Amino acid sequence: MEYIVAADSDIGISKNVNQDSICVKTANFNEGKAALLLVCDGMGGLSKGELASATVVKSFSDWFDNELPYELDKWSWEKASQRVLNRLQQLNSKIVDYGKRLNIQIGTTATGIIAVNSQYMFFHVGDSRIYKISYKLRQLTEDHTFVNREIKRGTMTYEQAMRDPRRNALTQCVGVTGNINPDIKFGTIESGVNYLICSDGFRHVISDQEIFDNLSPRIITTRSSMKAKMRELIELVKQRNERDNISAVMFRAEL
Amino acid sequence: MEKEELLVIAAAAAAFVIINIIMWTFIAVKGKRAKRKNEAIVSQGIPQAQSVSDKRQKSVSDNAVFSAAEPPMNKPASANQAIAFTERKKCSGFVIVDNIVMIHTDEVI
Repeated sequence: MEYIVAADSDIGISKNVNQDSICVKTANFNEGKAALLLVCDGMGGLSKGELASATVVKSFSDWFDNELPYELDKWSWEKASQRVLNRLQQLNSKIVDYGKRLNIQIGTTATGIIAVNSQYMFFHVGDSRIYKISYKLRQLTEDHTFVNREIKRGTMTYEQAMRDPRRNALTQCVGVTGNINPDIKFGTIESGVNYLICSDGFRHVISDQEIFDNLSPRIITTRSSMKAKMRELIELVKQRNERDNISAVMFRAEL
Repeated sequence: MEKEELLVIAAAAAAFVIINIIMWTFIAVKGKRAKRKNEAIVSQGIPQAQSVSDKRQKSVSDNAVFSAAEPPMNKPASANQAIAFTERKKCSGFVIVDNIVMIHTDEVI
């Protein structure tokens, strides 16, 4: 079994600060492999969005380094999901309190995958996305945005949503409201399938077809090819005048 | 010797014996009393002299006995930590392979 990972992030063409934070870690242990992949897209005034995203990333990074080795001995997906939920809610309270103290509003998306051997769990708050790229492109997460909620309610069409000025408004993210309800789902890792986690800046101006064509598991099979193709797409996004920060991580397992 | 003379000598000897018995009995009783008194001084005098330190030692030793008899939750923190570590076993052979963390601030909340 082998885990192949890669990550890239870019400040983009108009922002002074890269408010995205990312974390990609893999580990071997006697009974197999474990991985953490996380993309956090920070937002907020006074250039503090990067602080919100960094806080979440550092917390999960510390968990992987210091707590996961003890949890793996008696690994339980049910307990793991509860711990992730608790961690996200604690981080939410921490960032909300910080914003209140400074009288500012900051927040971050948090979309990640935790993999142990051939199983995985993803957690998701906000509008960063996870795509599964096999023989087709499939979005695993649902955006926590105003327009997506209206589309699901049937009060807005996809075309209307694309033109709506509120298309970037989030219905939930970490650090803004008192309560969050992260999506947590479980799955089985398929061998030779690529998984992509990206911030909205990465996908705004490229189509699903372009993502599939460039990151298909038939052509992207190694770490170096992942890195090269993600950089190529980031440059393409910048050429198309995307104004947001741009971040993406990729994951592939050979079972 | 005449009969009267023998009676005087016997009476004197009996008196001598009786006086000796009374004397040695008195001496023996006095000796016992002195011994008891000494033993009382030995047994009472030392604890009085060391009462404060003894009480301290006693309290420490008593606590030690009690804490050992108490359930683990009431043990000192270090003992609980030791128990926690033994219960929470680290998986064997954990080695980090990839470690990419990208953040763009030195500030912490």
